[in-house]
Amino acid sequence: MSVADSIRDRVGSDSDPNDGAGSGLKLATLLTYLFLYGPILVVVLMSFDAGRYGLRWDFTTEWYASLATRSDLIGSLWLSIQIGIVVMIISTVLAVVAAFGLSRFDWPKRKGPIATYLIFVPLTLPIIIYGIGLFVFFTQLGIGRGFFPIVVGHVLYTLPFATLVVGAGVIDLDRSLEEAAMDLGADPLTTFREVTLPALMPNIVAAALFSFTLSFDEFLISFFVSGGGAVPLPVRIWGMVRADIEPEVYAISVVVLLISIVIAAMATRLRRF
Amino acid sequence: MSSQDDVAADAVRPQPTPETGTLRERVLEWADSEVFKGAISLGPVLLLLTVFYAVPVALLLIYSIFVEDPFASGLTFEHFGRFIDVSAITSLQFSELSYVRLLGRSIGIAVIVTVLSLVISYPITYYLGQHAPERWKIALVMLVIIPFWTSYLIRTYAWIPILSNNGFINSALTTVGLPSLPLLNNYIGSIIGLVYVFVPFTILPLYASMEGLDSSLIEAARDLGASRWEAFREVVFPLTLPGALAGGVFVFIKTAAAYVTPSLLGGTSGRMYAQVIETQFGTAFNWNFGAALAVILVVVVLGTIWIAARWGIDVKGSRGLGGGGL
Repeated sequence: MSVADSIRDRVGSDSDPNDGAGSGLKLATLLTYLFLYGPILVVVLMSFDAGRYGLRWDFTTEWYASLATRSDLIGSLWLSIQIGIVVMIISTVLAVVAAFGLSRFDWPKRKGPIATYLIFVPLTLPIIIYGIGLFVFFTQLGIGRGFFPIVVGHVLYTLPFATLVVGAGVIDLDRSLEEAAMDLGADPLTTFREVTLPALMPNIVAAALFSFTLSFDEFLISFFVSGGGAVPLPVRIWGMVRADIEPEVYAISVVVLLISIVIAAMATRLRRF
Repeated sequence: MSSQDDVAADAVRPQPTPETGTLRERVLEWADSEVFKGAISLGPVLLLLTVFYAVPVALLLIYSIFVEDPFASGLTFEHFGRFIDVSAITSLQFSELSYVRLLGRSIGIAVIVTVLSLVISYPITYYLGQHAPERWKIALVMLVIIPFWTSYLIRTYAWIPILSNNGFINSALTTVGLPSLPLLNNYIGSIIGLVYVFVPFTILPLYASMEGLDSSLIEAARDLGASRWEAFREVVFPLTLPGALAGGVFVFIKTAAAYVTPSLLGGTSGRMYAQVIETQFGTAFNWNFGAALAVILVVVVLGTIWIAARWGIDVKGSRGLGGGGL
């Protein structure tokens, strides 16, 4: 290695041609992105394809046009949005409360970690187990399937994610701001409203957006507890894919992907890396 | 912040002005006790978790040990006995152990998917963590995260037009005169779909490890004459292994319980364990046996996490990234 090279190393430049990313590494990275986005691109292509699978591609927008006539799909889309909004509100409020509970207060030794684990158990157990359990639970209660069981399932499913996002903000929060407010005469409630809440707002909004998109895309829990006229869009799409005769499935999927990608992109930007 | 600081802050904090009202003052005073704070902040959440999470899951455990209706019929182990057929084991008729074999295949597929996810994750995370230009880094990481937040159902069935007999890959192969490959409705379809759906779970924790890796260690190894591969093997790999294992365990437990992907892409040879659980509730109407199969899956998942924890793998770390980091 030349003197120039070692100087460049020492000032921390990344432009060293010998030690920079090899072309193999760049190629592998590129291929991974292709792997991640290829199938999404395929869905978009298929939604504009008049024929079926294969390399032949004839442009058409007829599937999007026929979406407008599918009242079942539009009804399910609207239902998924409604469920998503209700779940988002409940989950975010609970997440803010739980995040403070987990990170702020002096727990008796050992109880703090137990509370943390309890909240995060739903992240570990298979979702299918929870979906089936919830189905059995609501059947036993005589409530059966429908809007309420779906909302309950989605709240429990999104809550750990939302709590993590808000909790990260609570941990990062500069407590001297709150102390300064208190020193200046603000009571705890005013401090929370005027200082803590605004500082946490990016995390809270991100948690809300994540909760919405998780609920909007959730399939397995809905699969077991939906019914009685309340069929969310992913369950409807599942039926279309299983039947394999409805080409509109790609068009409605593009609509779903657009909604989730826009919301996920907004939420990821809000979150600090 | 510690309670001593709270006390100190209280001492210098001016008292609330009287016109805020006595109710408000009483509320504030009450709200100052730690017990109240803990109860009010986590109470509702823990109650919700108990009623709507713990009870439904416990209900499955209860169903699994009753002949039929819980508490209205006798206790039994027959449902677990149907899973682990002792007579089939003693008579060495292992082909009769269809449920055990299915669980074994699911675990096997989960191992393959985990290994493939890790292999795919290393180059991209090494590039993103160590070589990506600073100003593109956040955008590139976001590009990995975003598909993760879109419907896995749609991202899974997107593979059907790619893998099917008249799909993109096989159309391309036959166009150039090669024989077509059976990629869909078998275990290959399951594996490809599962890697695709779960690879972000290994990419994200591994990226965190790669990002935190001090690049001067790699430079030092290279200055001392190590080849790129040797530097990776001796420096990068051991230092990023915890992140890789944490993500790997998570992919494993997710894959072992997969339902959607094998149902859409797996056919018969790619059939997985969670599918027979669903069958018991969806079409066979044998809730008790289905519950027993579900309990066995939970034991496998919790057992995996327990073993991982004993090996010092921080599964919670990957959850932090897998959940909040997404």
